[in-house]
Amino acid sequence: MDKIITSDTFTAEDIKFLAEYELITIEPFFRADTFSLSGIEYGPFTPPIKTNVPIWVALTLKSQKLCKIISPSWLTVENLTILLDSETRETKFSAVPFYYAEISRMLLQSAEDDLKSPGELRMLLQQLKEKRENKIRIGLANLEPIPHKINNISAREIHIMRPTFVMVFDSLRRIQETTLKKSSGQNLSETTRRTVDIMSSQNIDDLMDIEGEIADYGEFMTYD
Amino acid sequence: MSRIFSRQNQKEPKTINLNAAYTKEFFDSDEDLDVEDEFNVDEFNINESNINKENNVDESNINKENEILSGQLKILQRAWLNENFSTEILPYEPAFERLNEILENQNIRAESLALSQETSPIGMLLFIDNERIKYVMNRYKRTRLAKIEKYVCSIIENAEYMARLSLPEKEFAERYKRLIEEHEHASFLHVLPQESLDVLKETENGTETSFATVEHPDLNQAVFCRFIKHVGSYSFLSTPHDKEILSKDDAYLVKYSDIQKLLEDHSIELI
Repeated sequence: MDKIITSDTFTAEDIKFLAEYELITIEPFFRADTFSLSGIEYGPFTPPIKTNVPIWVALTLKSQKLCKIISPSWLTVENLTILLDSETRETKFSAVPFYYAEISRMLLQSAEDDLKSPGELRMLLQQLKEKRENKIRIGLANLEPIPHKINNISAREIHIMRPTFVMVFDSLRRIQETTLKKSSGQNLSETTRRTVDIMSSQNIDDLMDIEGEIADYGEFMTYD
Repeated sequence: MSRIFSRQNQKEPKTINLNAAYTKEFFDSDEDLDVEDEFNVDEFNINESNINKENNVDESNINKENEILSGQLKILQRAWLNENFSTEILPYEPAFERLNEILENQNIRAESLALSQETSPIGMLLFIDNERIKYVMNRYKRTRLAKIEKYVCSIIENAEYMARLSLPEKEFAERYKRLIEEHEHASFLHVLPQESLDVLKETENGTETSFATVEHPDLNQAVFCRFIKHVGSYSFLSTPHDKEILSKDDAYLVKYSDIQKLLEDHSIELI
């Protein structure tokens, strides 16, 4: 099989880097005028007035004990319980922020003391993550045709899905093209069904790979 | 509190040195066959113009610069991701050059701020911010170079792709191709009989086009994308009978060829 171009150079670290540009509310412990970072004005910083800054700024200040981070409204036990509930009931993904995995992980790591009941948050996030990964696995097993709508998918989930999904859909397409050429008289649904049969027998090892990958990801993403 | 600050102050000169070293490394990158040397010239020019500018820096100038900086950084970030996830090479984003210019001014301001307000954490934040901007610029360049290396023959054969490269990139592509050809000829091609190579040649309407072994970007590859604008009723190329309502923030897994047009007019971003 051809080598697929997955973005080998794009790593989980890059997702974290991009997530760090999301805004978060802090309570500063120092005084300063407004100043601009990457051309956007932040401040003024006057304790105890709350202000919004990018997460990387908040974490840098936090590491020097210069601010208190106010946890985002979605990162509360209450809200996560609601999300988890809808994640269980609905077949669609529930509406989480695009970088929810990275943001919650960063905050739990470096600003645990600013979050209410971090232990419970960890547990809920872990459950939410598992529920969502299960849905991805089911989606792959069903081999739904593309274009395929996947609203509310998060950055990290795309990152783990990408290699396997791209490969599966590409080989599916290639087999489909060849079968169509060979038996143009045959009706499409029959061909598609046969293609899926061939797929599942030929690439069973590749399909099994996602299990391993998700397991790796699970280890990387544990909230402790 | 004061203890923290004094520790931080001791570190400050070190940060500046690191910063300078990083910039240098960034500009004379070794593995790019010196094509990026051109940036050294740019850097020199910018420095000169800065000296002239420094005398009359006023508020409105800085404000205008800030506006450009935030806009261009967003554009370059998006361009980096699009470039990374698309199979074909995309048009070169001139935001790179503009950011490069502004970054120099930012650096000067950060340095003067760090020296004048030693107790404030802001000088440090400005330095980190500069490093982050450089990181995005660096990743964008690297992603493009990697893609040019991968599809070098395909890009050089295709005039449309060639037009998407910046001047130094074009030069790089040509030199890289020459290097590969020389290397392959010297190591094994010269011992093969000419007839065996002719078999590999593809012909179109009787004229030779290219070798069958040239790797072309697969435009039908599946990609993840997200809408950044409301598009409304639309049908993807591969499913012309299904109409879909596409609104902002919708995410799709699609064939690249289906959304090529949407990517061109900036209705979507690849994620």
